[in-house]
Amino acid sequence: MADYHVSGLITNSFGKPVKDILVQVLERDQGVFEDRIDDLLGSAWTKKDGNFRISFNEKQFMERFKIFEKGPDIYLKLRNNRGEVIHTTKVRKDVKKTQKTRLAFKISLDPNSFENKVKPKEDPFSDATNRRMGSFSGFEQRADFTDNLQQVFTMFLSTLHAWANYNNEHSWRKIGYDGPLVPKFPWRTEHSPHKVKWKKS
Amino acid sequence: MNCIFGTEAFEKRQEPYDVISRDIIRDVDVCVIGSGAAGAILATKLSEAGKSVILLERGGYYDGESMNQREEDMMPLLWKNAGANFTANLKIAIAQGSCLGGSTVINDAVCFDIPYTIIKQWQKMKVAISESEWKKSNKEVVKRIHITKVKPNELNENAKKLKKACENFRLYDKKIDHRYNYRNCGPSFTDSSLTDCMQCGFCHLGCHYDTKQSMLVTYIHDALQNTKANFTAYCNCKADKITQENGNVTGVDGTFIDEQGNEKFRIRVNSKIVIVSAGSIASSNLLQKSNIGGKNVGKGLALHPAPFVMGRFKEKIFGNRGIPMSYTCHEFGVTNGVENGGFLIESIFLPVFQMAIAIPSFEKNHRRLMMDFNHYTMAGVMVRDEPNGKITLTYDDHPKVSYDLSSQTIDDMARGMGILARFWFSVGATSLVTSHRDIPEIGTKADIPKLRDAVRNNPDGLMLGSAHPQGGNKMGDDPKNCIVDSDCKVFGFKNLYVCDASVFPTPIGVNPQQTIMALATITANKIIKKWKTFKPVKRSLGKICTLSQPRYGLSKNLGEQFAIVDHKQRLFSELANSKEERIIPNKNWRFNPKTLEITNNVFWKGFYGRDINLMTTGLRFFGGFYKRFEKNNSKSFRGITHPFETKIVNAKSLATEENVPGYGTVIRLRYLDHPYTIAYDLLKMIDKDTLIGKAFLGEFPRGRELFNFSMSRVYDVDFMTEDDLLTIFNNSKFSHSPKGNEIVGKWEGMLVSDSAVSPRSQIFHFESEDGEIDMRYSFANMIRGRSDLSISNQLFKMDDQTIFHDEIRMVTPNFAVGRWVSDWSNQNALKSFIDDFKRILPVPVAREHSKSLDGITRKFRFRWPKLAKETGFSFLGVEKNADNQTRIGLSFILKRTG
Repeated sequence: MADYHVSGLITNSFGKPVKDILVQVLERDQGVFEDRIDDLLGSAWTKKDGNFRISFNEKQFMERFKIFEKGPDIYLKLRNNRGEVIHTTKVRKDVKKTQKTRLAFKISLDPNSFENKVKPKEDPFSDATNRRMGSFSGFEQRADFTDNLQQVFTMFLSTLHAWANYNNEHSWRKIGYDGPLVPKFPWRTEHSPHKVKWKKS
Repeated sequence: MNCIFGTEAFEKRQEPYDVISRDIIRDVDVCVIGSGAAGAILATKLSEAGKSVILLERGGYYDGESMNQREEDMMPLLWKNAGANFTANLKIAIAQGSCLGGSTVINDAVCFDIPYTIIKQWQKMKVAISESEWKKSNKEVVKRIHITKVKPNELNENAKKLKKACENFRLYDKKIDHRYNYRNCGPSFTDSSLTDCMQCGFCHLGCHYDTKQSMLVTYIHDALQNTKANFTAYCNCKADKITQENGNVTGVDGTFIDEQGNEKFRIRVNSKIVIVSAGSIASSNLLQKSNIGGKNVGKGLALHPAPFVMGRFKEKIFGNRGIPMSYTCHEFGVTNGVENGGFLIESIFLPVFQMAIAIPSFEKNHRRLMMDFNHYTMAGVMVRDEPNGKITLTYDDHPKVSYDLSSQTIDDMARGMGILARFWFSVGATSLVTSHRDIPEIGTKADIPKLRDAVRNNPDGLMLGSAHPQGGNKMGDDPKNCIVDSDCKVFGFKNLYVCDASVFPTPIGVNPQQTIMALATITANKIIKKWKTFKPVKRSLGKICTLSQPRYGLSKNLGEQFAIVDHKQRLFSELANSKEERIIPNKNWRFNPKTLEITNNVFWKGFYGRDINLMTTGLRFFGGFYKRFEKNNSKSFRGITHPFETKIVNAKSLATEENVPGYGTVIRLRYLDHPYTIAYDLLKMIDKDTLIGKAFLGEFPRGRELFNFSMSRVYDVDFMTEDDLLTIFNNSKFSHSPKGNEIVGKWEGMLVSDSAVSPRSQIFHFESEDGEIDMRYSFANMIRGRSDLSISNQLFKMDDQTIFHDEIRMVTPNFAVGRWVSDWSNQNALKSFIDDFKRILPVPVAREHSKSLDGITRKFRFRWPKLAKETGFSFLGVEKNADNQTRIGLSFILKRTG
């Protein structure tokens, strides 16, 4: 007979029940490993009314904790019908059989917090070096290097020279160049309405 | 909902956007490749006509807010190859956009109607597009992207100087339609206070204000907003191959890439029609990769190469301020009726970093010249060159652009630079800076002839830029010389179109964006008219991870599938493999030459995730695994798990169905012998030939999950084993020695291991010359050479410089199998190989190694000849014949690519 019964309700951000969500109960293992090595204690699909109920037994985790006389540290992992993880709850530590409230979950799915979503980059420019590196993929095949070593060398030096000397505000000021008219991260910085610095023609 | 998808997530987006997190498979009416001047219009117009449309774009989606006017940030984001895009001889830098909207995002917004001279020239070349068709479509484009003429008060100081110079030379006496350029600038959809060009001067780095009416803010924006349309744009998506069947294209295989161009996910698009609009270079490259169009694809490339001359003035010009390209001198170009060659002189100004690269000097001189940044005027001589360039395919399928300046183009450049030099002096320039390394500066008018001579005598000294690659897939009515007809439909195909500047039969001599847009408009209308003639979509799964073919999945996908799919208990009884442990064709093994699929019931072949990492690469090269089952009793199967190459692992197991906490009813595979008892597998049968599984280490049921895998009894030739290959190779029902010119063409070869075939390892070219077949090879893009062929009814043999030779057998017209093998020998084959290997090593080293290796062999009773077999060099196989002779070698498959 099952010792633990985890139950709950999954709703969307408007409070409506969501069916066909796979709910998995996992037991957080100690350690530095990634979570896929956590023990899967049980799983169930949500019904039409968004409810789910999962039962599991003390034997599934107890041996490991006998010495410490602790209950399991459990959390839920929610997957969509493609198997993608869309939500992971916080871990509830040392849950006891009698603590029914700690075994009940009410989860509201926020579409923007789906875990399968890639976390936004700090800015689109942060990967510029990677992009530059990638642009040279196959360069040795696209270009006839050996026939044009001098050309390659000259180009390399020109670019390096320009990069070192004309790619910063200090050098721009030196030659009197106006520089950009917008902040580096326009979407992040409050800036005044669009206008140019100089008098238009 | 219409949406843009990509692999990058940013904080904020102006259009509906979502991030791709898995393989995609879509069935649609239209697949358009490329989102530039042609692709965006075709996709939008066809979606407005009620067709479901997918737009594939290699670059990312970056909106106006992301465009911050800084070269260091914008060039890697918006420019193809981050700006490092050159001809093969590195003489010409080619500026192209690589982002949603294509080059229209980074160009100077200059618009010219297709010149009348060009319409007439093309008509003579059998391009059946009338003047009225061009006019009508131009009118539509003008309206949609707000093309308007630059007003006199919008000329910046740079353009004013050029205008004054033109007046000084009385060029105004000539009859020219317009000198103030037309531009596509208009109201910003993101800031209602902006109604026209901001004149910020940063056109090359994308328009922050969204007033430049690029494809991104016009057609693509309209398609996304159209609630009646079914439009999806996939960004960061590289089209790898157009698939075809009997003169019909069936769709496109593509790859989603990260910032460095590495594969993240895959896409398979099944579509009624495919339209390639990726620009001259990429469109030709895609046709070549897809083995479409024949030898003429990529030929006839023109670039509009453009040298520049800058005037230095005492007063400040501030060339960077205002519209960079607002004024053009037409007298010497096609717009003034010049039939062959000719050039336009166009005002232009480069951002500071590009300017610093373009100035042909170093050190003090460079510093001195840059100090006068604000005192320069600049204009370019855009030459209508001859279409004598070509695009070829490199070993790794990159496009290689070969282009040499013709004598007329060089002469036009010399003339144009000379005239421009006189222009600047006529309006008060104190000196000039040129784009020729031999004459970087000119102090007086008297030096102008020297500049012209330098250009003519040493054209390689010019620093040239191009922003208008055209040609490569010529339009016309002759399938022998042209790739597409006047409808832009590829000859030989019913539903494949190429529509972009690559179809131009000649360069047009003016900035081409408006002509490309007009052509796309014409083509879209033609496609809509003949829509009913296209066949329905034929569904194919391609090489996408799906439940029925988990072998194509990433490890993560396998885990996801395992979590949600139920084990089909009714199929458990079919787990057993054939009683025979060796392949018996048509009994426990079948090969379908149409689908190139192998059904093999000797075992369940194992597959790991397709992730590109150290583990999967290692497995690909050093072996895979299989599992075999036989019935034990009504409730269990005895099994064995075995890597293909090594005898080290031979794990006996017992498979039973059990209800495992957390997983429900699954197949539990327990290992019976030490040391394998510390592990177990959980398996789920998806269909009678497909299993997915998880391997665990530790005591059941609480072991640590190790990895996900799948297994199958049906797989395609990309996963064939060496035994599969040998079965096909040695059986005349499945393969035959190439006859006549059957083998002629280009083939890519992939080594066969027992895990999966390798990526491309070699290329074979077979050419027929005077009835003889000539063969060239390139192995790993490093070793190249020719092989001597000996052809008989039984054997197609190729000898090279090594002790090995190739033997090839044809399976289908586009698929062959081969072996690179030693001669048959009575000795142990590996021993002879090692002896030969020692022989070809430098003698002293070989002797030393020979002694020490022999010593180790004696001491540890290690048998050298079995080394490869026991350490699992998966590609290396030993073959025995009926006379008990052996030979060693590599197996490979060949797929026709040309």
